[in-house]
Amino acid sequence: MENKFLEHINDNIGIAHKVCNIHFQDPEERADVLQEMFYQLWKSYPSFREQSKFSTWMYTVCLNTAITYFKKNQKISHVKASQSSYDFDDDHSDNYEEQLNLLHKRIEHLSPVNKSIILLYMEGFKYDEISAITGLTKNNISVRLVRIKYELKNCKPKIV
Amino acid sequence: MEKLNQLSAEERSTQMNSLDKNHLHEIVKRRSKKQKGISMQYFWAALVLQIIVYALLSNVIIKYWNDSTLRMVSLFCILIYVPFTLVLLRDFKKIAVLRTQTYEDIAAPLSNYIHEQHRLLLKHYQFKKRYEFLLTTCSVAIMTWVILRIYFPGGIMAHPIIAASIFIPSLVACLIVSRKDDKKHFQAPLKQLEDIIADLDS
Repeated sequence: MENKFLEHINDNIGIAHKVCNIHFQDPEERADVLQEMFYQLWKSYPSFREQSKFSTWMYTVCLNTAITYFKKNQKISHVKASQSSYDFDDDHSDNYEEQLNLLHKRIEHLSPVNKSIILLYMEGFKYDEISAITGLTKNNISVRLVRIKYELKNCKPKIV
Repeated sequence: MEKLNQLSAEERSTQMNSLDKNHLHEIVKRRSKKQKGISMQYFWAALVLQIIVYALLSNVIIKYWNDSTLRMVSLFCILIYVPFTLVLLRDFKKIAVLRTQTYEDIAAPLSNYIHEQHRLLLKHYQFKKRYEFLLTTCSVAIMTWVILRIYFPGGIMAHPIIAASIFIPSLVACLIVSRKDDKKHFQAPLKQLEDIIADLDS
């Protein structure tokens, strides 16, 4: 089972990194959450029935772990978020790489649930798959995505 | 937007590495130890307090064997205290091991998972609050009674002001410590979960 688990994880390891990167800015926190994700994945692996895709199951476990991870330094995180907001307002660029950074900064300001939804959307998940992972209805996902896009677009019309 | 998604995927792929057997074993070992530590932190703190009370009462019984009232009340206090220890041994550990859910839970859809986490944490918090309030009040009352009985002739009935001046500050101090602990382990995580629930329901 261990070998199969490692094979599955290594084929999809990017999922854990993506979820960490979108939810946490502090490198130490990211490393800690990443370990927690691997631990939770290993513990819950026996429940994986192969009825759904491994990647969908892994996204569910990683997102649940990330969203319920209790930040020890919430005040510090909040200050960092405010700082990045300030940086973001000052940024002006046409370059794709810089626009990408800009997009990441904008995503940082979304709520944890919306961050998860936009991540799944950007990863190409269909509405019913996002709905299965988040437990929200397809209509809710659809409405949220419109709102998220509007929120991202409203910051700087050029990006979206 | 699609081009940005591609760029995003490319950028993220550069920081990926792999998980090997040794790394996995190390993570599982470290996390299990950490969770066990969190669980035992609650358990030992409550158990040590109870051991202190048992030790104090046993000492009083032996030292003041000739004082039948003191002996009987101390024995009665020990009997009152036994249910607290039984509850501690049976239920209290569940509070601390909340994070070690059954395997399937963590793979539940986000919304269900958050609501379940909130429900469990709130349930355990309410139980802990009730348990600690009763335990603390009972412990402080026993200690106050014993101190007054031994060192103040006439006991509580003859010195109600002294009794109150020992009982109330001790109780308040214990409750403040408990509240501080609750804030860190229950109130802040509950607030975080409530914010996510509000976000999910919006």
